[in-house]
Amino acid sequence: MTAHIACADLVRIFSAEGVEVQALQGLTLAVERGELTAIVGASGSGKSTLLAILSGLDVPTAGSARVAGHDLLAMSTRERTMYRRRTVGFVWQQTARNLLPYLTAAENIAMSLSVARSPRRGRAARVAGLLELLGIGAMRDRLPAEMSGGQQQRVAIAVALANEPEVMFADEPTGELDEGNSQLVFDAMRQVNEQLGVTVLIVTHDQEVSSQVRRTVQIRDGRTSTEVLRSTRTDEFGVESLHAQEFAVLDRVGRLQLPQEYLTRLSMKDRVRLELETDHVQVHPTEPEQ
Amino acid sequence: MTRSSRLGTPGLLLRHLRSGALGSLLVAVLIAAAVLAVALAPRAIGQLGTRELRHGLAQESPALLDLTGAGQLGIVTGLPASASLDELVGAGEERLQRIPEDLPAPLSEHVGPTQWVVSTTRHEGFLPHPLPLTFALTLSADLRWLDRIRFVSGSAPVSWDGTLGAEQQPPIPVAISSAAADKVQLVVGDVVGYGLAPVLITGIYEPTDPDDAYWVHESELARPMIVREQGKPDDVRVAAYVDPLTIAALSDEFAAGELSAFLEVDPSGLDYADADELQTQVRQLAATQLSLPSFGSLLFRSGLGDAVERVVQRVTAASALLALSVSGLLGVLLAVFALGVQSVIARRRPALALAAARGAGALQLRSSMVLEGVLLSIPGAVVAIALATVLIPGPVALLDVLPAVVVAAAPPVLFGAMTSPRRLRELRGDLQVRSRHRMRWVAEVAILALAALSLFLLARRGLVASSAAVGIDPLLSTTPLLLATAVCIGVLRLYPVPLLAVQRLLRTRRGAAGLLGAARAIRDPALGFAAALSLVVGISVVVFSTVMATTIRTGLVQGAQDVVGSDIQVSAAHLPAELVDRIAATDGVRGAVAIAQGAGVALTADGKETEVFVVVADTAALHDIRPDIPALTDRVEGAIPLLVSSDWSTRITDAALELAGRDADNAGEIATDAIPGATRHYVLIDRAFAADVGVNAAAPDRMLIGLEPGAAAHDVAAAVESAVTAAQPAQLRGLVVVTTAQQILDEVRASPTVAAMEGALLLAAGVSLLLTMLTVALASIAAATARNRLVGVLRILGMSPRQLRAIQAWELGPVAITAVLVGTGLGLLLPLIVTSVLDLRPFVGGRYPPGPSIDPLWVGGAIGAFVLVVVLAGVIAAAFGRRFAPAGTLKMGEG
Repeated sequence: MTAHIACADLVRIFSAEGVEVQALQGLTLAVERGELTAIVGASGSGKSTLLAILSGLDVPTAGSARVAGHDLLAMSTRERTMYRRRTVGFVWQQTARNLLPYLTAAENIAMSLSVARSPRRGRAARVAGLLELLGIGAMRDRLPAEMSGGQQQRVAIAVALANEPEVMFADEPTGELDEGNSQLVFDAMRQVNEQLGVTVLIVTHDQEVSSQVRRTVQIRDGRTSTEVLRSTRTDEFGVESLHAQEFAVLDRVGRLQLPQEYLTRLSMKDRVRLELETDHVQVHPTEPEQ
Repeated sequence: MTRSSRLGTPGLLLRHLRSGALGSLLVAVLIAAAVLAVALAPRAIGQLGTRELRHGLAQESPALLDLTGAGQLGIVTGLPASASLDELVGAGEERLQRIPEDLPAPLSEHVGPTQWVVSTTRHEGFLPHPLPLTFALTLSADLRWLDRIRFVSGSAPVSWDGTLGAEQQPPIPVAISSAAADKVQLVVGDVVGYGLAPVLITGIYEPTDPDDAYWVHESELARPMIVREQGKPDDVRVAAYVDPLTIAALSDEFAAGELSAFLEVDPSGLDYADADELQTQVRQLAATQLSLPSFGSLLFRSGLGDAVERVVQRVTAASALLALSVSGLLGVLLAVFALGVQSVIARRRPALALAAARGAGALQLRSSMVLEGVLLSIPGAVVAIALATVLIPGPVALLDVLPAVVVAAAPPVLFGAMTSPRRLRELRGDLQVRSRHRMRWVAEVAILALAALSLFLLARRGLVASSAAVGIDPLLSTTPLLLATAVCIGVLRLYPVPLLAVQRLLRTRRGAAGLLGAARAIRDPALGFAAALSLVVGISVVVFSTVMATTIRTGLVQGAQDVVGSDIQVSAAHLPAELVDRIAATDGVRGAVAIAQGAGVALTADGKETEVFVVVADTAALHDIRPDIPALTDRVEGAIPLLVSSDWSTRITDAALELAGRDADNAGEIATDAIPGATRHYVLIDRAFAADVGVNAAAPDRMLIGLEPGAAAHDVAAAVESAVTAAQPAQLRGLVVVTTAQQILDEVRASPTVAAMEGALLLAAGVSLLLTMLTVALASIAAATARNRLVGVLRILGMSPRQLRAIQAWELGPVAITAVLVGTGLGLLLPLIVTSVLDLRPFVGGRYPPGPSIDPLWVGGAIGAFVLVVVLAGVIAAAFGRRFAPAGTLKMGEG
């Protein structure tokens, strides 16, 4: 099955006078439809750039990126506008970028609907439905300044979902929130994912969030380095336990990134020796030359 | 608080537009002001012409303006003495009365009916009581004479029933004016000997309306004309009325005599638009001789054409100057306009970026901005245009309203054009020192080329007599603005260079405020191109207005003095030397010089002999009050030094001349109108040599008085007048005329053009200051978010309030200082360009085209006011910006 989101060798270079920054250096990622995936990485690793590209706000320098059947490198302006309108929804970290401060929650959602030219008649029902889904029906007529951080982010999620997108991106949605609100927001996202079947990609620092998603992808130096897959296992006594398995990601040509701690523990750098065993590969550090 | 959410698109748009209403209101007011200014300017300039025309012509005497005709009345001869008036002159009268109707419009709309008087030739008269004067009399007949006069003694004369050439003739009954009767001491009943037949005074009259133009044209009927010559008795000429029926008996005399007719011109209804046509029509009238029945003829002339031409020149010079001031101001206005538009777009950018991220298309974004533009500009523009029509009443021409409409339509268009989804992402402007946009390079080079071209064209054209310019000269109006823009472009490109040097210097020192301030000024300046241009043009307008105001004032003063000859001019019959000395010693008087003239003195030059007037004065004292005239007290190798009037000085090539047989040296030339009273073909020598050339220096008829600086001209003039009048013999007291330059200056400054010019310059400077304040405020507020973020970080790092203030000052400081320097230079350069290209003489008077006069005090004051305004605006805007920045502006990481 073709992935809902498929990036292969994605490159993005920013250049200014005398300064060149390679934000993405050949990133490969595949997300299936309906998945709830978290992307983690240190600051400067390229996660925000990845989201900007996938949501159609930026254009990659090289590589390929396809989301829900749209080729992000080859889109015309018109297609891009439609893509942003109907295919993806976006939630930023700061409220100021998600909501217009002078519109109420319902009006913010209606603005999104108005941009997509959806008919006036259905708007009230849609707004009400979304607010109910996210548990913030009481916030309908309040301005953002009159809501808590968690409520604001949930309204932001509602706005992102207004035009029934196939994919929702969230860039550190809980970055400014305390633990309780973070949990609320994350629960809302999970509910959206489960009930509406929207593919959700969350970029986050937050360990709490990433520990609750099934799949976490780590980005390091502009490439995907490791993935963690979590599942719950029930043993014969009916006790549920959480299992997390960390994988290193292989790109198309077989490169992988070894975790930093492995490298430092074994003092591995420059060249390593590989040995093929029957069911695994060994990686040995080399002795420093005399 | 409950509010209802609007879900429909119009409701959402309304909410969007209502947010940030205060800032939008400011911009709306700005747009309305711009539209008002653009709507007022053409109307004001158009009105100016008409007002100046009416004012200027009203100052002229009727003798100059009226259509005056001289010729001969055709009188039907050979009719019996009992012929009726109608038979005698009926045909002529009818023809004369038809003249106004036959005139073309617009001339015909402003002339009155034909008024005419027919007179015999002048003959000597013999008074019953001999008097020390010669007496000459003319007989005049006017069909409407009885309406114009009232008799103070006696009664109206009846028609003469005598016959010319007969042996015994009854005297011709006449009526004379009371002024004439007093002069020649005649009363009712006196008989005066006269060539044709004796003349009997039957009545003495006075004009019923002495101010009527009739008495200016027929002056001899109102008062006697007295010709005075030195050494001869007065020659008195009088005209007397006869009953018109007397024409029958004296038909030959009247037919051979003179017909004087005039049509009164009323300038109060004239329109400036008709000026050219009027001049042409007056010229055509003067070129056509009118033929009257019975071999009569009449030729008109009028000074109306020349008077109109003078006004046209004045108005054209004034409009050119006005257009200049307006164009500079318009430049500032447009820059502030651009700033306002930019500020609105910047304020809307986050919302537009959000909408774009949610999938709004370019069309949707542009339409919302266009809608905002329409709402901002159209209501204000309508009010402004209506206000302009009310403030300056008059017909509304489409061409006048068009610029205002264009300005009103600009904001919606600009808003739509400058909104592009690609530009919504705030790009970091501080990554590069110099911008790399190709379009900007192209535009800058184009403007530089245009500015150079216009300067070249202007220089090539040279000084132009303003009548050649058609209305508002586009080249002269746009050159200063182009020059200012070009200079601004150059400055903005070059100004990082010294700042980089300053930054390098500051890097080696301790203290962060200066370094940070300099770095921000180079990389992320708060005032962009529009703001900098507005500042540069703003201060250059202020300095330019100040310099032009002083130039015009100096020119006017000089012009008035050129007309009068000095500060005060006295013309009287009797100016003895001790009177002159007494006046020279009066309070407030710097010097008094008497001027005498002699006529018919022989001057030999280049072997040819001509007769010249010789003007005699104490040239040492004259040089004191008229520094342009050198002192001629010392003989040059035994020859008398003299100055030759410039109307014929070019024809003399010899330096050695002979005046009345004495050796004379040609010491140079003097302007023909430099000495009042001397009009042409004269030489000036010192009083000491007067006796040598046979001119009586003891009978001067004019005196020039120079005042101490700061003396009250009117008071001194009054004192002088009373002193001079007291020194006159009784019958010559009425001839004392005292003119002050101050008086002429006041009259000229009351004329619409001068008042408009001075007002416009003042207005330009004032509005410029205001707009500068607005510029700094807008730019500062626009930079407030970035500044507040920086201030937040710096405060956490531990900067003191004093250092923070220094950083804020660095934002405004470099650009403001550069603007002041460059703008002042420009403001001082422009008057030089203007005065060398535009001849201001029709406007200010004077003999030579005025050059710019720079008063350091005024210019310093203007610059000081500007700097004060900028600082004040910066401080206020900084305080304002801080109030609106929420405490949570500071965000770590992405901001």
